[in-house]
Amino acid sequence: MKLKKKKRIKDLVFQLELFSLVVLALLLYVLIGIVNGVILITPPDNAILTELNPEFEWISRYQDYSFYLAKDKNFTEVIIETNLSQSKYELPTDLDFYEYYWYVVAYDNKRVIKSSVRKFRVETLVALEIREGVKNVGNVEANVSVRTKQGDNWVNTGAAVLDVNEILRKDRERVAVYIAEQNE
Amino acid sequence: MNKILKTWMLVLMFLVVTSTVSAIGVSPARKTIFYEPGMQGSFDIRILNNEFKDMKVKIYTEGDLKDIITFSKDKVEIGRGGKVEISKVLYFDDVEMGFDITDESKKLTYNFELSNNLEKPGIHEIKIFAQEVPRSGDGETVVGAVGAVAHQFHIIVPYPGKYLEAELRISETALGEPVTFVIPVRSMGYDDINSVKGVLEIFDSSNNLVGTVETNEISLKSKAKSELVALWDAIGVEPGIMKAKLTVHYDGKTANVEKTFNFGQVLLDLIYMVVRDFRLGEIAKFDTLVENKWSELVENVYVETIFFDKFGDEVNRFKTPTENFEGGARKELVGYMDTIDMEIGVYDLKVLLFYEDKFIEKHLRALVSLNSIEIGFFGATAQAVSVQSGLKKNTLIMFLILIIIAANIGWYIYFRRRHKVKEGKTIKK
Repeated sequence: MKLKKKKRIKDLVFQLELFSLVVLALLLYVLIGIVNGVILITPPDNAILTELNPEFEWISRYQDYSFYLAKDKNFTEVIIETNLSQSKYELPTDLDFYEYYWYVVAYDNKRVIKSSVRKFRVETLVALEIREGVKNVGNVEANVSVRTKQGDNWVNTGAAVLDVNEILRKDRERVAVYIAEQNE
Repeated sequence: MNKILKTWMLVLMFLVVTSTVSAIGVSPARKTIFYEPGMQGSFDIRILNNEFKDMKVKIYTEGDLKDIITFSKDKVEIGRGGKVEISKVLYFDDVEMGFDITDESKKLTYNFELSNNLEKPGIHEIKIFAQEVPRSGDGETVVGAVGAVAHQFHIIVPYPGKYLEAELRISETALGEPVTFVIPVRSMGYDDINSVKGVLEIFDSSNNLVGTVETNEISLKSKAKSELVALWDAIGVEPGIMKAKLTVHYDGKTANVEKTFNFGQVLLDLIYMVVRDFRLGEIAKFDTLVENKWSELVENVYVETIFFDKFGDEVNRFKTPTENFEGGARKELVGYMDTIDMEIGVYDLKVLLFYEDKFIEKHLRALVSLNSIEIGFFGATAQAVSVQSGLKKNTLIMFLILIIIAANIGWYIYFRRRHKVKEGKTIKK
C-alpha cells in the first residue's frame, strides 16, 4: 500500500513537472514573440469603450514606431498616422462614436515589423454622479430632468442640459429623482 | 490574518453603507433601427455602477410603444444527472437588478417585436430607465436625490421620397482657435439623396451676423448617415453666447437647425482666495476674486467653501453673499468663517463657484497656522483620478517566467537530493 501511495505521488509530481515545463515553453514562446514582434496591449481586440480618448499601448523591444488609426479595416479612411519613439500613444482629440481599427509598425534598421490589426468601438454613455450637485459623468451632452413628488405623483419640475463634467445644483429641500438621457 | 482581513472588509462595507453618493450609468445611451414590419430582435445594454457600491436598480419603460419591449434573463436549471438547461425568462416590467461593491456593470438584454402597421413616419422613441432604488434603513426611506438614466430606443419609420434630418455639434474652443461645426446627417426617406451641403450663419447675442461658413458636400443613400464639417476661424470675435443657424440643402429641399453655444472658455473663473489679518480662534475673512470672462451678465454668483481634514471629514464651511457680474467684471466675494474649533494644520478645500443654476468645482489646499491661512491651488478638476498600475506588462511576463524557472530548478534539486539519499542508503546496505 505504501509503495502504491509513493508511486502515485511520484506520478503526480512528474505530471506537475511536465505541466510547468509546458507553461515555461509557452511563456518562452511569448517572450520570443515579444522580443521579435510588436504585441498590442490596450485597448483589447473588439473592446467596447466609453472613453473618447483612450490610450494605446504595446510592447516591443524596438524604439521607432508608426501608429495608424482608421475607420475601416482596409485603412482607406485613416484618421491618425503618426511617428513615435515610445510604446504608447495618446490621441490629440476625442474620437466619435464609431468603430475603429488600429495597428503599429516598428522599425529596426531596414526591417519593418507590423503588429496585428485590432478593432474597438466607442459607445455612448449617459451617467450621473450626485454629491453636492448633479454631475454629468457620461461622454455625451445630457438632458437632465428633475422629478419631485407632489402628493402621490411624481411630476417633472425642471430640466437642464449638462455638458460632460458639468454640474447642476441640487435641490436640497425636496426628494427628487434626476433622470439623464442623451440630448438630441 | 483572517481577522485583520475581516476587520478591513467590515470597515470598507461600513463606509460603503454610509456613502451618500448616488451614481449610475447606461451604455449605449441610444440605439436606433429602421422600421420593418414584424421585425424582432434584442439588444444588450450595460448598467454601470460608477461608485462600486451596493445598490438596487429598478428597470422600467416609457413611451407610446413601450409594450413591445420585454427584458430577458437567463434561468439556469440543473436537472437529474447534472444536466444543465438554460432557458430565457421574460419580464414585462418591474425588473430589479442588484449590484454589490464588486460589480462595475451588469448586462441587461431587452427584446422587441414590431407590429406590421407602424405607419407614422419619423422617430418613435421608447425609453428604458434604470433608476437607483433608495436604500431604506430601520423601516424608513432615505430622503435625498436619486439618480436615474435612460437608454433611448429609436425606431425610425422612413418618410416617402427624400427626407433628411440634421443635428449640430459644436466643439468647445479657446479664444483664437477656429470653431469646428460637425453636422451629423441621416437620410430618413426611402429615396437616395444626390447632394447634401450645409451653410452656417453665426450671430452674437445682439443678433449681429459675425460669420458665415459652408460645409463640404456629400451624397447620401437612403437610411444612411454621414457627417458634414465646417470650420469657422472666428478672428476678432469677442467671447460670449452665439447662435448658429444651419441650413442643410439636399436635392432642392432644406433642413434647418439652430443652436446657441458658448464661444470662449469657462464662463467664470476663480482667480485667487486670500485671508488677511487672521488669528486662529477668531473669525477669518476670506476674499475670493472671481472674474466673469464673458461679455454677458451672469447672475446669482456666490462661492461656498468646504474644509476637510486629513481624514477626509468636513470640519468647517462658509458661503459668500450672492452677486451679479457684468460682462468682463472682476469682483472680490467676501465670506466669513469662525475658526474657534479649528487646529493648526493642512486642510483640503472644495470650492464651489455657483452661477445661475450650475457650479464649477475647484480643489485647493490651505495651511492654517496661528496667524495666517495660506491657500494654494492643488488641482482644478473634480474628476476622479484613475490609478494605473506601475507594473509594465512585459515585466510581469518576465516575472512569471522567472517563477516557472525557479520552480523547475526547485523540482530538479529536490529529485537529485532524493536520488542521492536513495543511492546512499543502497550503498550502505
